[in-house]
Amino acid sequence: MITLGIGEIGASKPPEHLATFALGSCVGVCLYDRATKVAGLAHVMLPKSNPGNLSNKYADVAIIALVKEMEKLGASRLRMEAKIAGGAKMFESVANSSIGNIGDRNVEAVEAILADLHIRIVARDTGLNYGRTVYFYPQDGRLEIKTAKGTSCTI
Amino acid sequence: MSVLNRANDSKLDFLLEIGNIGTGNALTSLSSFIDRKVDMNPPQLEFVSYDALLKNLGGSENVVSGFLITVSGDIEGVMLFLLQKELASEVCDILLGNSLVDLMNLDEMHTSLIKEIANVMSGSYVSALADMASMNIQNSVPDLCIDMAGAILSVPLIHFENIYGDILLIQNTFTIDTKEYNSSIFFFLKDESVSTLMRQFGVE
Repeated sequence: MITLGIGEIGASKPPEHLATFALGSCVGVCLYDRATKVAGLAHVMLPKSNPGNLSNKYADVAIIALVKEMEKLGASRLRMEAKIAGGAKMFESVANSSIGNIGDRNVEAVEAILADLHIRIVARDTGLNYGRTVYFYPQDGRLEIKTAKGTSCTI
Repeated sequence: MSVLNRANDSKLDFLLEIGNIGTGNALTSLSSFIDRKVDMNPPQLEFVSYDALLKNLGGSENVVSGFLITVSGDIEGVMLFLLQKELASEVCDILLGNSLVDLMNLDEMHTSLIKEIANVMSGSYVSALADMASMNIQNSVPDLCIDMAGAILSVPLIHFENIYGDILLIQNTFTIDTKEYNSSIFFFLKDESVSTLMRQFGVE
């Protein structure tokens, strides 16, 4: 298992699966090329990079870097599909503050970048108000999502 | 990068003192709230990485109760107040006569009680600071979130886009009667606000 921290990206092939813990308003972007079984996961923290700061914590930088990582393992962008999870609103008051609802903004940014890259979102579990831990399996592209309440689902 | 990362010794001492006084007042109000003796040990001031911080909180998936308080007025920032399950449980036991079993399934009574603890403690923290600095500082009503530590902690970090810097953690251990507890209060201040406070106190 490859564990990714906040603002990190990673790609893998079977049998190595990918995981990232405790997504709050961050978004887990999972890309999959079914033909080569190459999987990729990005733990995106913020919507858009600044010119001076091209880090993988930003959706725009991270997703493009992730596609490149996966291409190194033999994947093709044209075959990629996406599953996304996270983008929760953990605190009500932050949603009303100057930064707005960062979870929603992260999800919108991810959607826009994936659309630009012609990568279709085939499944999602986003929004609401709880944290999510995700496991992404390159064997079949399934995304397992667990919560602190002990519930889990697979998309 | 936050000013805290570049803090020199006098800034560190200053921030420690702010944390010390704020936390001391917060614990005094906790003491009168539950009508028990609360003793505070000297606070530990540490600059820690995000990963070390999560380890400190029992791992990113460990369930904690977090309260987010927005601080506004002459200074701006957010305060994240983490209430350990054992402490929440102890206070519920003292005041309601039954301790809480599962943080993820709180009833209305327990929820409003622990919100009130956070309200009292954060309110006295901020008003102690405001009094001492002779400044106008308001704090919002605490916003409760009970969830994975990582999911909660990422919120103020995103607020300050400060994921790769170190975080100022003021960790207090204290005892209620004879049992020892931890509290963690993270005070994320805007760079300008740290400078404002230091000027106000004549620290350069």
